[in-house]
Amino acid sequence: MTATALATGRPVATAGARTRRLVWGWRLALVLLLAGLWELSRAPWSPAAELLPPLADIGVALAGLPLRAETWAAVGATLGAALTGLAIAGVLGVALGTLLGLLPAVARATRLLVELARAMPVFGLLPVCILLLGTGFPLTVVIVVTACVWPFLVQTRLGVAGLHPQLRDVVRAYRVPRPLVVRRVLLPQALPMIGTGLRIALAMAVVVTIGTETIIQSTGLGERIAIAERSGAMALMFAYVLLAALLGLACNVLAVAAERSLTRWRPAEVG
Amino acid sequence: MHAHRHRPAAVLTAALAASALLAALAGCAAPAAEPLVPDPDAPVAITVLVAPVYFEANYVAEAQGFYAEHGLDVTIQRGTTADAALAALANGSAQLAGSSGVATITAASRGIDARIVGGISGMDEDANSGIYVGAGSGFDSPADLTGATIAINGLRNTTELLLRIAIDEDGGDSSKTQFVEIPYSAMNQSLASGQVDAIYQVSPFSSSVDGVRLENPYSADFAGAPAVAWVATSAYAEQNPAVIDAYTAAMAEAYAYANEHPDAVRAVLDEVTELSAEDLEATELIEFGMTIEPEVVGRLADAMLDYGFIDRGVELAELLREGS
Repeated sequence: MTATALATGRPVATAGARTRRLVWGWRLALVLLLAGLWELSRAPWSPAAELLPPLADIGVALAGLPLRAETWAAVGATLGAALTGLAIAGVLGVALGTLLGLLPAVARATRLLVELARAMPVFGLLPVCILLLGTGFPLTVVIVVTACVWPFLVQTRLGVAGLHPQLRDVVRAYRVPRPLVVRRVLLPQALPMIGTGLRIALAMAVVVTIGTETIIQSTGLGERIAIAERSGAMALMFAYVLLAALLGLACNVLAVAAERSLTRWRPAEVG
Repeated sequence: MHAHRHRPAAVLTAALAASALLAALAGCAAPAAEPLVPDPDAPVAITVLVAPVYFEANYVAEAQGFYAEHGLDVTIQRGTTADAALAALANGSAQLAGSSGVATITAASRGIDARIVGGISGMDEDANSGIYVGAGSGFDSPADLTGATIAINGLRNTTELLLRIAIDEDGGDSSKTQFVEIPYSAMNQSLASGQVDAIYQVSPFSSSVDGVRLENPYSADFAGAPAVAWVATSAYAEQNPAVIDAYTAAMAEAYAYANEHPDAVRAVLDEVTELSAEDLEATELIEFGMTIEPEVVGRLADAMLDYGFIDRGVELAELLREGS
């Protein structure tokens, strides 16, 4: 493929353009298919007919969201809680993951517990957490940390533990001190893995924040979704749901960019 | 080796020191021995967690300056469930909360410190809410609902209790009635599709129900019991009686004002909900404010015991604040 591109240049470029056009065609077809399915679910015989507004209404509501002051307050609150929780989870997860990566015996001893904690539905903790923390910003952050610490921990442990045998021999031969090894060898080596953890955790952070807000009614996109639902404003509710999805998408794009810049020094095959 | 052997002791000492420090900090945070006295020149700051419904009068009180007049600086917080409200009172993040009377009695029967200090709205039905059945379904009176499936917004709360009582008083048998929890926004559809036989629906959804409303099924026996009440911990209420009195006095003014100025209430609804203009116009506003009759509250607690909502009876003295 590269060889053809080098040899001929132009024809391959057109082929690339054709492929791109084909991909866009498929995307459009998929969107139209989904829109058709939506309208079909709104047919009078559908059990959900009354709850699903026409797509056009949702579009109008979505376009109107940026004009509402409460939208921006909600987006700010949701992002604030999600990113604060993510940052704390990142520091905790990387620190604990490094420790477990360095101490294989401890890692093995705690593996079952970690796997159990990862599989635990965080929303089940809400009643207890409400009792301890009330229903404000701290509660949301704690729930986000509980959900997001695991991808960081597991990815860091894997990244730190898998030290290349040659590197290990070099480090041993030169008797490089442990802290220096962690800082200059193990963590940089684990960075691509941690980057993947970051991407998984970020998507989780946004979803968990909005879920928590919906349940406890603290300021944020989740609260707007719940208020719209209770007020019978279904188009507005779906508009907020779409906005939440767009926010998650934007976060993912940023996370991919951050991951790339973190691992730029590495050969491309790894990133 | 020597150091090793001493480590557990050192850890224990550190833990004890930390807990002593925490206790000292908690001591600082706990209300001072002096009771708080509201003063318009030096207002007392309190946080009030309002219920998801019947919160309009609090915003009216804020806008009209009733809190300031009574020497209070009130932060209004939107609440969700009764459990969350009681938790907020217990951990001190709110001093007063609007909560359902039934939920408060349930909490008190479990030994949780929750006192009803004032009523917000009684257990009589308003025009916006009620039990709806399909047209031509044959359900004409509460007794007909024996064996039916009824959709309500939350199980084991006021609606379920009062409906069970209504069915039994009408000669039916509510133990054969099945209650299911469905959000208000999905109820109309579940009635239309035949998933349930009856729904207990509220505004704004009640205006678009495809069905008929049964005559008021609620028993008049409970007219003096609060559907929604102001709740505080007895610790706070006994420590700061002047704050509670100032708050209930400010709310009494707000209720009078709200009942006379429906436009002010609609403006609040427009601000804090997403109701459409038509729904807002169609909404019939509730009558705010009520006097709690201890005898009726006692009857309510007895009914809750009879119907298995609580396992243990509740003494009125551990539920109501004197003079509320």
